[in-house]
Amino acid sequence: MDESGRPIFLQLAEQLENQIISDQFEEESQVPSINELATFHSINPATALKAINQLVDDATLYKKRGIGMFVNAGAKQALITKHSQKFRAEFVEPLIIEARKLGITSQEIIQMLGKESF
Amino acid sequence: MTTLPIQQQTLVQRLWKVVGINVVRPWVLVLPLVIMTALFLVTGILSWLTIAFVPADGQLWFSPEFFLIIFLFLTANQTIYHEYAVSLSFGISRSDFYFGSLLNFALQSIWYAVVCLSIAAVTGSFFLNEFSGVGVTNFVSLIVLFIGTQALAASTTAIYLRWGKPGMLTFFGGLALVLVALPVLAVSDLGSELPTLNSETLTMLETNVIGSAVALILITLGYLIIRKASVR
Amino acid sequence: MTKVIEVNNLTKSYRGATAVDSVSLAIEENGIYGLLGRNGAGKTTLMKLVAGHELASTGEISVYGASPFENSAVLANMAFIRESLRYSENYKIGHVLKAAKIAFANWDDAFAQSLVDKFQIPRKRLVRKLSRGQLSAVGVVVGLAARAPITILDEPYIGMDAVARKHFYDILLADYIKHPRTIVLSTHLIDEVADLLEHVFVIDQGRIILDANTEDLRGSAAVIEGSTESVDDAVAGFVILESQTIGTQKRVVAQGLKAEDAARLQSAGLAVKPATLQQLIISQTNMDSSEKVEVA
Repeated sequence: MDESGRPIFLQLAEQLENQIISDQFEEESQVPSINELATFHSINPATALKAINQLVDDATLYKKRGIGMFVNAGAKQALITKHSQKFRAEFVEPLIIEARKLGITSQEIIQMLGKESF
Repeated sequence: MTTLPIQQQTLVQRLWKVVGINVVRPWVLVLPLVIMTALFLVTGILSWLTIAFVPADGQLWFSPEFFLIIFLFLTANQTIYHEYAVSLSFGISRSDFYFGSLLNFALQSIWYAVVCLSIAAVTGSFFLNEFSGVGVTNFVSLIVLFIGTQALAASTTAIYLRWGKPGMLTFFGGLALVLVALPVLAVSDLGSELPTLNSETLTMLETNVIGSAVALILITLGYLIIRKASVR
Repeated sequence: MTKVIEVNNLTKSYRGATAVDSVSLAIEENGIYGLLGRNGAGKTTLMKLVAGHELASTGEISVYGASPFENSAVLANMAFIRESLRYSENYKIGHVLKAAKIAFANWDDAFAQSLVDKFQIPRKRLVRKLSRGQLSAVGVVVGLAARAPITILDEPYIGMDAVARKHFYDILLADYIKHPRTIVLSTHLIDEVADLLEHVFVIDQGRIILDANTEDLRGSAAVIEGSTESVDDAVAGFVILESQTIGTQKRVVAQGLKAEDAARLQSAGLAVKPATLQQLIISQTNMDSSEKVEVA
């Protein structure tokens, strides 16, 4: 995982959430096992377990006994809603702070955005 | 105690582990005999040369097993010194290590004695002095002598490992005192009747008895020292 | 989870110097534990005591419920690989492995042989002629292939270059996943090893100054940077672990910040980042040693 001081299980959970949102893991499909995740990211399995447990607690994933962890139906939409709620704090606020620092007006920003279509 | 993943082994199994570790290089069983043979040949040639050029009453006696004993002393020292730390790291207790090493020396001594006496039986006079025959007494006293030497070496190394330089000084200081005191005693008590080292004055039985007694004392001493060194 | 190692008020002194000072800790079965600390902090002494290589001055150690000292039953379940282990004269790697096979009940020889190849340890060379890194690799091979239920590794990577160290971490993790056991690893390379550790003990001058789950520690401290005035205002009330000033700027490592605090500080124009494990531990160690570095 990355070098920031953030807890790894949070980073891993977020990464899995993003993968579900972008359809890399579809609903009712299986996600990698704890051991596979640990090996792939070179982290302690207990950390991977923590991430998975958080996603189970959030009802993003569910466990099929003896088989593995699967993406819950409706998880994608729930995650999109959750991430959208954080969008303003995570992306817009920093943009505003930085723009203020540099003296860029909101008009200029709207102009920049105007060229994009979404 | 909570259940151990690896179960307790018997004493024999644990000591046998140490013996096994000592022979991962089988060469260690052959080298002393090679050295002994080489030295035998050298001393044999030397004595032949001496006898050829020196009158009969100035004979020199060399015993190859003397060199073997010196060599065994040195290798026993080295073995204990080098394998101590590794054995601890490999999950072997100190007492298992020391007593396993003694068992190893005992078994090796039997092996060396068998080889020595086999050669003596074949050549008829492998040893130039008292061990000129092949018999149970010789066999046993040889084994005892070999074990005793190695036990003494092991003890001195154990002393060094446990008590370091001060321990060594105390032990050898004490030993030196004993070695000086004995001849002094002998001279004062027995007057001028010093036993000579000439093989004519020592019968085979006497030598074997004295040799075995000395070796047994060494072994007992070694055992006591090692026991003391294993426990804090 | 069963506690396999329990240490209670353990002290070890050598001729007036206290190497381990009233240490108490517990290690549960099947986990990777880190023992972190500076050189001379007491890591090796503590490990020697737990492995039964030394006798404590005072206090108790219990491994699988019993004292490990001269206890063959307990010792057979442990492997302690130290950084300066010297093998017998004229041993080659093959001899070391043969000896290890005899000593360790769980020894996996095929695995050991594959590790010798992976670490490129020369098979024909005498062990006493190996480089420092190769000698460490020998220790790693033995330590891992022994599959001892309690495996203690004291800075086992000394002399290994970064590539070999990465091999070691990967192999350790993979084998731990396949064959779970209790691993205690001492190191001063915190950031390299941090991701592998489930729990850390930080020892400084013989005392345990940190005993925590790695993930709990991560994110427990933050690095805050900005003008000295605004930083001082912002961090009032938090525990300051470390502080440095340069000109009119100040950088502080502070504990106790919550997400809302971080957001608030950021909108006030301060740079706020989570402290890495290494930063946190170094600050903690420095703080306890009362060393504050001021860059004028």
